[in-house]
Amino acid sequence: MLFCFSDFVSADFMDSLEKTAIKKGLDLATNPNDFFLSINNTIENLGTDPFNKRFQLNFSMFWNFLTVGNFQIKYKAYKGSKIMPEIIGGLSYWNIWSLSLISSSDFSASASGFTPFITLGKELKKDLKFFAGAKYSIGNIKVKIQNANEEDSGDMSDSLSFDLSSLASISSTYKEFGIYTGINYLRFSGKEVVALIGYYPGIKKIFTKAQVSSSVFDWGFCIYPDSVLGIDLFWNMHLNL
Amino acid sequence: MKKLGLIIFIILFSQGMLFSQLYFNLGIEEGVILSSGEYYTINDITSDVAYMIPFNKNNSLMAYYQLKYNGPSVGDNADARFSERAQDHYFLLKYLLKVNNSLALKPSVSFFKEFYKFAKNEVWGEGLYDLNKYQFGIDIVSKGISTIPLTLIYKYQMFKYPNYHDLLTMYLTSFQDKKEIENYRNHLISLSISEASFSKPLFINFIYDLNLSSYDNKKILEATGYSGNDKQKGVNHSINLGPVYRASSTALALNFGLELNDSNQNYIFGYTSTDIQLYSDYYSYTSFNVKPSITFMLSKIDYLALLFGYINKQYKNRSPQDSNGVFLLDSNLKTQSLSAGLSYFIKLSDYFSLNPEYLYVKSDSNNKYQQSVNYNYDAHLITLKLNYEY
Repeated sequence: MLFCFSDFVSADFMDSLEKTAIKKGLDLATNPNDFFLSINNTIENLGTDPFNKRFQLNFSMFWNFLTVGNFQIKYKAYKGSKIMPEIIGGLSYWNIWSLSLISSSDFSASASGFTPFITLGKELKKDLKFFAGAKYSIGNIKVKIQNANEEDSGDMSDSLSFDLSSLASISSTYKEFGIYTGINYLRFSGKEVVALIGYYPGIKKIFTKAQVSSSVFDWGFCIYPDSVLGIDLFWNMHLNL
Repeated sequence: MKKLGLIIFIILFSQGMLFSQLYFNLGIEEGVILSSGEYYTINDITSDVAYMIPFNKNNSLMAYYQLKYNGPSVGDNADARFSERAQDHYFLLKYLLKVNNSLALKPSVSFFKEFYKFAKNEVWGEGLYDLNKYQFGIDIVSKGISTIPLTLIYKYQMFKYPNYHDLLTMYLTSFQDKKEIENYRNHLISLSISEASFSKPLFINFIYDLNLSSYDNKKILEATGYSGNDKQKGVNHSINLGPVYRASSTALALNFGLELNDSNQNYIFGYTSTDIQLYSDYYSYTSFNVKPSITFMLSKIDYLALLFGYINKQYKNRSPQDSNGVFLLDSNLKTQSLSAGLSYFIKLSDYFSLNPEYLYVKSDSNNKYQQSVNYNYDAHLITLKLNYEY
């Protein structure tokens, strides 16, 4: 993409874009947990959708295209009553399956994670629900570069002021408890609008989500302040069973 | 214990008690500051959750929590001035007691926790200026004369900086003294009148705040360090008067503000222990501002506002510095800024609104030393705020 646009934009802008991309890449390499935890959040659909069936399956189409295989299943354990809230439990899972297709004796990698969660919801008005819940995100990222050569990486390390040879092996696990709350309401056009905010107290990470849902698709964006990913647009799909 | 938990659970989730009194708000604001050919991204997220438990028509309890983030957005600003970020958690419990039709009492207790970082690579929770604020207070709300709703507030506040070490004293004493001395206490007394109507369509808003602060350990700064006989204290008066004129679909507002800050603290400047200069009464100032605005109600769901502002600040005994940092002792530091902007608000549904805003700010000062604080600049601020509220 950089080459496609290079004829139409200034050299300074291209230089700035390249530096930003490299910086983001280094942020990802030095703090992969933060990045994959953000993807985890984007894939999930934690709100109380008005699905009348017992189960709902969700997929992130965008991350599937990027070979991050994922799915989420939600189960409506209790429909709710005048006193008791609705109870929904679920599990989401993601795996970068394309990493296993790289056949090289010098490189091996894997990345996957899953999150069980429980959401309580209460109808405030006919078109409005309030929900709150908790989840526990677990993920593991492993990258190993065999025969990492200090001499080859030395020049690039000097220009970036960062020792690339230290990236020969990355092994990182995250296990984080998170809480969230939000509202979802039904618009006159039949679409559902969801606003969600959540927090991981252990790592003090905030995540937010703004979403519009139709009968099959969800669109929106997530904002992860002070994170590698920053802003993530998403396009998800759900099926009620 | 189990029965108590069940009772609390039922109270919290039963229809007509919790959810009929629930408040939820999520505001996401993204913006960019353009100044001197550079751009800096900003991000502000605010979320509030509150619910009120009414025991009867005269007694109720409100629990409130706010989560707030303020800092750079995507791009991670390289300039240190725009790289700071803060994450705030605010918990409040307030009891509402309606004494009679014209008097209500609202005692409250709150805790505020701020995590503060200068840059992205720092770890949350280890910031030098992380803050814990404990607050106890009471609001007295009186209708008084029927057209003047009066509120008197008293708050006792304790500010504690758990990670702060006095870097100056450490430097002066060759790192022998590491006492945490930034903790202080504050008494806030506030008197306000809101939307008082003497002659419709004219309304008046008035607020007077008095802050009396005293430091727990910090003494007055002398040339040898914090060694004066008195501890640091401050008195701050703030007055805001805002008449508002509402006529059909237009509102004209004019806000006048005056602030008088008096502190007994001094300042020292120097690069080595032998060339230190002492500047007394360094933090006292007077500030005046005027902020007119015009709001046009375009329809039932949207409005456009023109915003203007002028702020003038003069220090009582602080000298400005030239571009090399040399103090100009024959004058006092002055700053002033002008601002003008547009704000458009549209309600897209009962609970969802959008608010784009543009503001231009020009600031100048007789202080030309820009290494720590930039007093001379002009900037364009463009923001877009998405808000969900119930």
